[in-house]
Amino acid sequence: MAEPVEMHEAQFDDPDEPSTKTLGAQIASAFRGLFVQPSGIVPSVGTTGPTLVIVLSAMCFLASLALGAALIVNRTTDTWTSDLTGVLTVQIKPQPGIDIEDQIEAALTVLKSTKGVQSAQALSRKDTAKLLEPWLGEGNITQDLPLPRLIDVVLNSEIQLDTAALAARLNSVAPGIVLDTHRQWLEQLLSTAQAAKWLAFAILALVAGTTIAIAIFATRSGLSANHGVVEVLHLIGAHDRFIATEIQTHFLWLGLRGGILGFGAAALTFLALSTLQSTQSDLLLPIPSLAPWQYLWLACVPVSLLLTVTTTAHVTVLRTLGKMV
Amino acid sequence: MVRFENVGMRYGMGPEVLRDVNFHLEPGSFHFLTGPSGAGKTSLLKLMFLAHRPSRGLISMFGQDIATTNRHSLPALRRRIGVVFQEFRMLDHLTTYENVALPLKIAGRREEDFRRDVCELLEWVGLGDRLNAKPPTLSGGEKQRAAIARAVVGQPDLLLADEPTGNVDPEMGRRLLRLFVELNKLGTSVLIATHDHALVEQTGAPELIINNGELTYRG
Repeated sequence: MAEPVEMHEAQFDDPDEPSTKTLGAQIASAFRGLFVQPSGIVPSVGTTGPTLVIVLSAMCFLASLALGAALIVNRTTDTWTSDLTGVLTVQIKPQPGIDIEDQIEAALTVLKSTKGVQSAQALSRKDTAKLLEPWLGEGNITQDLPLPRLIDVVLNSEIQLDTAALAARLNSVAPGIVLDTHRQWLEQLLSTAQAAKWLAFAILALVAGTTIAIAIFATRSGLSANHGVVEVLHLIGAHDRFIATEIQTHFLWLGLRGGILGFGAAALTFLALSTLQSTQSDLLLPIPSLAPWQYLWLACVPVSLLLTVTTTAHVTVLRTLGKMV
Repeated sequence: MVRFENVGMRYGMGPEVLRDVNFHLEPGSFHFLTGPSGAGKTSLLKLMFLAHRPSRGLISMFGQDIATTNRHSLPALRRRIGVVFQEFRMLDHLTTYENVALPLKIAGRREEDFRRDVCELLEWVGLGDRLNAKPPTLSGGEKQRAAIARAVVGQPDLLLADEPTGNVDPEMGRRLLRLFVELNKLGTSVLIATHDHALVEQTGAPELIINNGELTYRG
């Protein structure tokens, strides 16, 4: 017998040979390696292709945007809640025959003796007038104009306050008092935010469902295109799991490419929003942006995409092969 | 090793292509399967390499009744069978070496352990210089030899070959037949479907003759 021909080694670098590549070239080579699919026993015809990578990257991008939006809404509502649930505003309307300063004094006494109130600070007539200046104009507020007066109340977050009882007590000592807990509009804001969050999750679910459908379709198409190969593997003793793993590997590479592209595009979008927010401070509405740690949550999207695509491909192959003899 | 009792087979709702087929192949036996084109040779081989189930009758392979064998147990049985398909069925995206090594890879063996054997076998069938060639670049005869090498590389208990010498010259045909005989001497049962009577006469092995779906025995 002739000396066997040594195969395949020639295409790999000799590990003992010192590398002449620069660091940049090595990094570029490693990056390229990420996108070079190793040749498998099942050919890539019908299962891979730029089109499917683009579709998967679009799915990953949309899912990342949806998750990012949900995270931003969550973060914003947390800020609103913590800002507004810890404070109250007491509004005292001038009453005929009663000195408003007496009303303020009486209200402050009640407030300071109430458990759960950390501090209470009355705004002076001058401060109150300043609040109205944007609407009435500077110097247009005369001394005889009856102005309602405000008391800022900071609550102790550790003690639950009965606001209804407090309002009743305040009214009993100083008529014409309105206790504004900000709850009404906070609740409206929160319910709107909650709806936005559910919408984002619904989009996420829709994208996940679509991705599964795409993976099933692509797997079936791949199996159909490679029916002959699969049959030969089957007849020479390959287990269904072996074939499924081979095809799953294709989808792993597809998902990896699509995931990295989609995640990269989404991360760049959020970074751009963040940059815009920091440079444009005079905008009417604040531009939403992600906290740095929230990018970690965003990174879960390509990982989930990878798991979804590979698992779907695996299960689809096993189901299809299960129908063969 | 292989037992067929009153086996019948039809494709879908079509007519029976095999009728009341009865035979028994002993371990280490050597048989030819002959008959005119369309007589049912390939259908019979399909039943034997477990690509199809019979419509009726009993098939026992390596002592196991195929009708009651769990689907998940079939790959283990198939690995004991080497098949040379009539149309070769090489995987075009793999090299000749990779095609031939495929049964060993599927069986879970490491490449370091089988590389030398595969290369030696390819040398033996005259494809030593075509290891890295892909099937579309091989001639019909080369594909056939590669297909034979793939079938025998795992030293199967049973070798089924459908027209294995149809595309090679007489010299290579004799060489391949010698390979089958050598394999048979090592204990592999061999069944070769052929039209080539010269091949049958060279070995003097018994013949299963199939005609119009019915099987007779000679020798």
